[in-house]
Amino acid sequence: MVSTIYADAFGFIYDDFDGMIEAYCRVPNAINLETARDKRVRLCNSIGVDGLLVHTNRSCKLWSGFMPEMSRQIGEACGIPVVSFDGDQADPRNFSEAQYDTRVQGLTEIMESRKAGV
Amino acid sequence: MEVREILDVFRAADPAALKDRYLAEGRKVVLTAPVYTPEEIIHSMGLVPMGVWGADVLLERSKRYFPAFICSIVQSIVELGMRGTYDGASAIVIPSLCDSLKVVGQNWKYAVPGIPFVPMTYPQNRASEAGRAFAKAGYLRVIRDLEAATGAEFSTESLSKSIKIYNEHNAVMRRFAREAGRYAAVSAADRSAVFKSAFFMPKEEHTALVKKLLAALEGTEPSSGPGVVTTGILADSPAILAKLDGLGLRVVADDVAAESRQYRTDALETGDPLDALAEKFAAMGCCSVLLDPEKRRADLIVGTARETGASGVLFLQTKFCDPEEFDFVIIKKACAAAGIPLLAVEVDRQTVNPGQAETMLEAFRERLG
Repeated sequence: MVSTIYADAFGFIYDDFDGMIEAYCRVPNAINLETARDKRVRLCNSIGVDGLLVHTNRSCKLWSGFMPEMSRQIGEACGIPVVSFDGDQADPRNFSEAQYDTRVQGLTEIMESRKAGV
Repeated sequence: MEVREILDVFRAADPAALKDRYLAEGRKVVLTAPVYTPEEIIHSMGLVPMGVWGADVLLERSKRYFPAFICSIVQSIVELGMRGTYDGASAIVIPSLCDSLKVVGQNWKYAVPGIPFVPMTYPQNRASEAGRAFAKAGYLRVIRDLEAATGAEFSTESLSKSIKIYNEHNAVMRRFAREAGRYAAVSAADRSAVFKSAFFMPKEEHTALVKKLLAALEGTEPSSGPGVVTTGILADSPAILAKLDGLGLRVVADDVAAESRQYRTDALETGDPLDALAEKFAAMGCCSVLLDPEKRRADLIVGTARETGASGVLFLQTKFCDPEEFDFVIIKKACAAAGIPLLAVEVDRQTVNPGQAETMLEAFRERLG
């Protein structure tokens, strides 16, 4: 894993009260699909990401609710494979190790075959 | 007109046919998503607001956009949009009142690109001066977007007139909600149809027809059987309504988002009408999607049950609706403390076999005696 969007959620830079308000208006939970997509596209492009693993988080409707469309757009914009898995920030019963293994294996296979130029 | 004839007009209010009628008349239709939108603004601009609360349809195309755990109300709104059911509408206004509503707007832009998405971003801390200013800024954004999408123009004079029309409708609907359960002629399915048709029919027509109904009902046979208060987001499941009627359970009052919650609060008819709308939103409450640290909704339900002499409370839990789930425990405890029997039934726009809910209602009926 080379990148995650979460870092932005905890890293604010501001100088005054108005700046703080502006910073909080841009947290990953408060932005539209396009802004959220572009943040991720920038991350992928800046460090040469080869694949995207998406956590569909049962307890986070705000992110997971438009994740399928956003993931498609990121995959197209960056030319990378996208795979999702189910989980939950709160309830481990929503996570299936077998599903996760299969999905990650699938993603790895696509990434490897692309690297090998197959 | 006789009571039955009037009720049949409400039951026959078909949104697709009405939309076609408005379009044939050269009028522009603006869709309004749950739970609250500034309909008065849409009406004042000469546009026809039509409520979209989804439908009992099989979700197929919308699955491209949503994980399974987003409620079927918003999923079926997108499903219908993708199927072309809303074709001809000039815009859709979607408020930011829950996480699912926040994402439906984002998905809408790509799933139904032919109908512009107009966001209405509401404040949750709505009663403070900042909250009212935030709501007003949201209304101004809606006005700008509607002007761009429809070419219609906004004026404060026109909004003042629309507020009066909506306040009159609110008053009539409050009276209907109070009185409908007293008459044998109004079944649970009829009651639901009167509320549902309000989202499709022109407000002025709806007000006049409900008034006519209330006048026609006077002196007709009183209802009998145990009364219930319904609560939840939606209470329009044909199977559940038919079961209530079959069991002789009367809906004597409701705290349903698609029903009475729409009509509890009026806007002031004096001063700047946009300020009046922001003030109205600040004054609204007792609703799962409106912040209330004291959770007065539970007291409202208990109080309503007592005032109406209801024998029980029917909590209709829309599947995957977190705000309602959060309120449920508080309501359950409040009803238990007051000695009011409560039944929780999960409802979903995807229910194919309502047998479980029907059995639960049968047991509840026996419990109420």
